[in-house]
Amino acid sequence: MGKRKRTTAATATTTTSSDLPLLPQKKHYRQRAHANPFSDHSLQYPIAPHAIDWSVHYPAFSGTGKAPEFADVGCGFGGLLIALAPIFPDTLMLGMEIRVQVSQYVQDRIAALRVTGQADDPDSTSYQNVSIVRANAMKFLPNYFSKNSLSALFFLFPDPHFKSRKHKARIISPTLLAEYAYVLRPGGIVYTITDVKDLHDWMRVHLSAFPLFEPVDEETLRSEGKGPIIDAVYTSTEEGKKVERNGGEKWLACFRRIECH
Amino acid sequence: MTKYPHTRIFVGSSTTLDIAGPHIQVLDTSSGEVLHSSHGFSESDVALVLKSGPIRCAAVSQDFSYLLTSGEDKLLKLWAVDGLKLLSERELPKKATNVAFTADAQTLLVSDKFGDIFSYPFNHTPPVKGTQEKSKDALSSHENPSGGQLILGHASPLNAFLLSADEKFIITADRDEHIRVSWFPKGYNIEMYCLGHLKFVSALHIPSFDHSSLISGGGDPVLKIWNWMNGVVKHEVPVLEVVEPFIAVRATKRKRDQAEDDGDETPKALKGKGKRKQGRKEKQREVHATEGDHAAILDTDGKDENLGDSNEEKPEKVLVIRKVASVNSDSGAHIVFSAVGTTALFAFPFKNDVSASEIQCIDFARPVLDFTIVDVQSILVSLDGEWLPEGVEDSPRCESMDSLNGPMAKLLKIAGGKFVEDSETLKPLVNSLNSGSLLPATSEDLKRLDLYSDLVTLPKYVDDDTETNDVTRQDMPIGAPDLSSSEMAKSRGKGKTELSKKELGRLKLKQAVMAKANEKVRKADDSDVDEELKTKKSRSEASGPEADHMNEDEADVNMVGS
Repeated sequence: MGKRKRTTAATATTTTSSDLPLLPQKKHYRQRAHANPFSDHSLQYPIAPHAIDWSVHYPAFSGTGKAPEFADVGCGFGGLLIALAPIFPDTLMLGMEIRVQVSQYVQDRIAALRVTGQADDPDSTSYQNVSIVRANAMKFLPNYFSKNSLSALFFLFPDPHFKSRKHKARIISPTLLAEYAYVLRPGGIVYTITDVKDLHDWMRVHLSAFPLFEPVDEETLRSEGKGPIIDAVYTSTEEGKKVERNGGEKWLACFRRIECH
Repeated sequence: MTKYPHTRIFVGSSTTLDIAGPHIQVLDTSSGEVLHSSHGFSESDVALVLKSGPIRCAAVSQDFSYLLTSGEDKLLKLWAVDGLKLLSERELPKKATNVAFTADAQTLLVSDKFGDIFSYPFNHTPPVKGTQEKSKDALSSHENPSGGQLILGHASPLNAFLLSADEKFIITADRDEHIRVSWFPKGYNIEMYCLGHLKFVSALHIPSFDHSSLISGGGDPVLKIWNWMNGVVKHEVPVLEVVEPFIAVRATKRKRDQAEDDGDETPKALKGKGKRKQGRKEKQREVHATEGDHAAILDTDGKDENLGDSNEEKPEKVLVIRKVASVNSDSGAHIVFSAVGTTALFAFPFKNDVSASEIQCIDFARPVLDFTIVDVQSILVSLDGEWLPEGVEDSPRCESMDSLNGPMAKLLKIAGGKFVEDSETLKPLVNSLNSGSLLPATSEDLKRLDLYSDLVTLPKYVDDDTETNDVTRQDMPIGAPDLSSSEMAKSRGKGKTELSKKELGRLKLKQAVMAKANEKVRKADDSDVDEELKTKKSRSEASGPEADHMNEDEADVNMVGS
């Protein structure tokens, strides 16, 4: 998709000029926008959630026994994580990104933010609660998160896979929803947003039809104090900003994990 | 004349079902007489049978009234055993990997190469033409030509599945090491994962003497015995060292195209070029795939050298556990298992902490194709009697070779803790399976059976790379991006000539961040602050491999600079 690639490049030049010199520059991490989720990538993944030493990812939380509670599937350049990190400083968040270069960018970005965060305050744990893995979430989500361990799962501007024969590669599908329901605790929220109306309809229809999810509207979530999350979902990601620049429309759909009967 | 081996045999109290290549035969269990055979169908019906190709999966209902088969053509065929009548034929969305009946035979289950399980009612109403269009609407996620119910799906081929004894759960295993326990039929409700396998899982079994246990095997050197309700491994049985000497059929693996799968742009690829390049890669992959299909070759006993062309490596022994089952004996409950392309059958007592020395085996000098438990204590083994241990696959077969052919079936039991051949039980049936019921097959037919393809298709070929080429990766945090390895691979490939602008830029940043971090730690050290920051420092030192590697690259940069 040439269109996406070009805009990513454009974003890179505009943001880098304003960023701190210590932050990574996107032009050094360029990669094609799509990856085949079904192929055997040379991925490393944990055998099982209990085999993960989260203190490697979150050194400031080592010894607390905490595991990630928010997962951003297909986190891209990490905008959501960076936006949510200071809002929920005690919640561990993990981004998952299948593209090597992009995941490396986010890792370098987090590393840079951790040291530059607040230079005057050495005890600061800024951005200590966010991390990233290069991972294929369609195949290996249960390797990272144990049953009912997450309270929020984000699918922000996922790859639309426009062609109908590619629909099976979409990150929302009836069979994958079972895995999302497994890692989410009852009451946990799935946030989806896209600028592609067809994909929005797709996600909404499949999530609504899935017996373990029920739609929940924006107002309800805001009334539960999840307003800052929704704002971040709308505006914090690179894709979200791009859509704004292009005057595109954004379609939000959120769902609550319910108990099974 | 060469004969079809028995790829699957189901022995019932009165009738026995025999799958031989594309054919199905119904035998009388006590007399061994062939009651019905698809080989004896009318010409047009035989053509239909042959059109489906070798039968890849089959299941029989508990009362032996019905048989379910699927071949190579994505058709699910339901047969009445009595008279061997085809009751229905359903089009499947993908090639089936396994089929099963529920206990009441009212529901048919099919797992497929895409990773899904569909269920179908016993009675089939063929879809009306025109409604099929509907299945392709914008919101349908799965092709479903026969209106099945989608029970669940993995994002990886499903190699094995089974229902718990009470049929409240369905357990599924895939090529990506996962074992999933879901509710049945509400498969959307995942109860638990049994995670711990490092390679594909290809066999599942719930012992008949302990319904809370699950035995799983695949490419790993151990069988795992789980408590499948909580996903905890109770025991592991080390099987590889016992099985390995008997792996007779070897797999020729294809060489891996490095970094091919990463969708990674080479640093200098321009946009246009990058696209073209991608196209070429796809093509290469296809070639590999078709090669892979035929790459399972026979052990040539030291004559390996002429087999390797540039894309193929030396044939190697690959462990693929095929089947696990429970059997009773005078010395208590045993677990029997077989492996693909292996000439022996194996058994161990069902107890805690079985050691390798407690695993019994019996060698047949011919690969074991399948085995089935008869009357809870006899084991009927089907063998690849046409397999020639010394010969090369494509050597011309002649009449005189017939004498070399081994038996096609044997009956065993376990007595005194060991396998013993049992030449008394079911003697007429075994005799029939070794002579009267054998169907003629040309060497082309036999080749088409492709009995050992699992040895090639199930393993992934990315493991070696991580093990041999890249020591630093071992030390990276699990799941952390491992760009450093691809950078290393690139520098290896190019003889460490130059780093692209992109890589240089990243290195500079990393150095700056490291410097800043060190500075911060130094400051902290000076002011002698609390423990926590010290651990932080040691951590940043502990991430040594990355740092070391960076220095290495830095040296490269300098070299280029000078």
